[in-house]
Amino acid sequence: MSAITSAIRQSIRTSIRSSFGITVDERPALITSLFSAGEQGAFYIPRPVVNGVQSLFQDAAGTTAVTADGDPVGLMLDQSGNGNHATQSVSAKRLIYRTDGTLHWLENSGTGQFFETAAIDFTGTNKMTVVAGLKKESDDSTGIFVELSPISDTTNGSFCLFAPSSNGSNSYRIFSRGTVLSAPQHGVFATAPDTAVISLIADIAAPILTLRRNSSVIQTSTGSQGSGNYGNNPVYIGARAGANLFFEGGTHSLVIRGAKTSAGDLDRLEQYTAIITGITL
Amino acid sequence: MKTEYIQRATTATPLAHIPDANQLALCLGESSADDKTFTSASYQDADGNLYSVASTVAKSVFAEMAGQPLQAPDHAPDMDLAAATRAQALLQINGGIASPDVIAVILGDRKESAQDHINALGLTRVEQDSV
Repeated sequence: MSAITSAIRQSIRTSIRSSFGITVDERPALITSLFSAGEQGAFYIPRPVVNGVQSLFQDAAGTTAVTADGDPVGLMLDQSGNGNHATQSVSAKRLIYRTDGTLHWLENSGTGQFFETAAIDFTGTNKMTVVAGLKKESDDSTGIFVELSPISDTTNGSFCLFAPSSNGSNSYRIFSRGTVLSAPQHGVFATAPDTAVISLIADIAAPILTLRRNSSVIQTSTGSQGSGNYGNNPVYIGARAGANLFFEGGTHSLVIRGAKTSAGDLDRLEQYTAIITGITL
Repeated sequence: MKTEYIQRATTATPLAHIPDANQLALCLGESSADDKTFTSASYQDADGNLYSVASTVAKSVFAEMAGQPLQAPDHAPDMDLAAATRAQALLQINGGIASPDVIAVILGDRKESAQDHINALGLTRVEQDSV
């Protein structure tokens, strides 16, 4: 890493750290940078109040605020400006808001909890960026952290981030599909429990599918993803279509952006995600 | 501020009792969608009997409500009270491992893990598709 790059990173890190937990911080600028050109997607930060606005609610309708460690969450507002809020209307399938006073996350026990969104229209893009701050608690069973469409294996225009896949044979795994599924094997590189920033970078047309962990490239695949754009489908967080492959662990943040993200913005986003996930890159 | 959800309740519903158990969940729960609490039977006991498991935080009134005559809640006035009452009669709270004749519940502190509760119920996850 060059001295200049290092200095920029440190500057960003200091800026974010100095304002972490305060209303004036890096986050609004980051959201503006990522979504102000009309990019489709979502930016989830599981804190009760974000930028002065109540953002977690106990019920899907948004009538009862989440205020304390241990409250269940039925609605998590999208901070991107796209209105792609994540909901869960079944009481027992809500994730649990947790905090230690510094960090904030949603706890998923792997027994049926998940969020879903209304269909998000990604039909205008064949490029995707997903950055997640998470803690994977177990490698015993395949878990889906986030998936576009009910099943990315067979649904055109979809993606998926597993944590883990193949019951731990892949520590993490990513899928992207235009009309052809790209599903590389990544192997074991981060056994549970693992707290990390995991990124999926995909381009159907190029084709490129890159898995990053803590800003380092784990693997880039250039296998065909077929053609076309991403679809107009719900996003599921924590399960496959709400039915199985339940993720077990914590969700510290999740950003989904239907666009190619510049190296600088990706670095800022991963740095920001690392800080609110409680790790240092 | 402290949460009202001070307990974790993990419930193992035998496959045959899922419809009734969902009516009980609707009655004791907080949402009109709670009849979808128990879906796939993805856990099994040592004999291979299948169960649907739900584990979540609960308010302190949960155990009390579970032991009282049921009433249809405001969020589901037309629920099947007879089905919920049948499920209620099968409830076994902190009574040991799951079995096909009971709806077994482990009720503990909110910070207890779901996996510990599932172990206490004597259940393991059914092998699922390995993606």
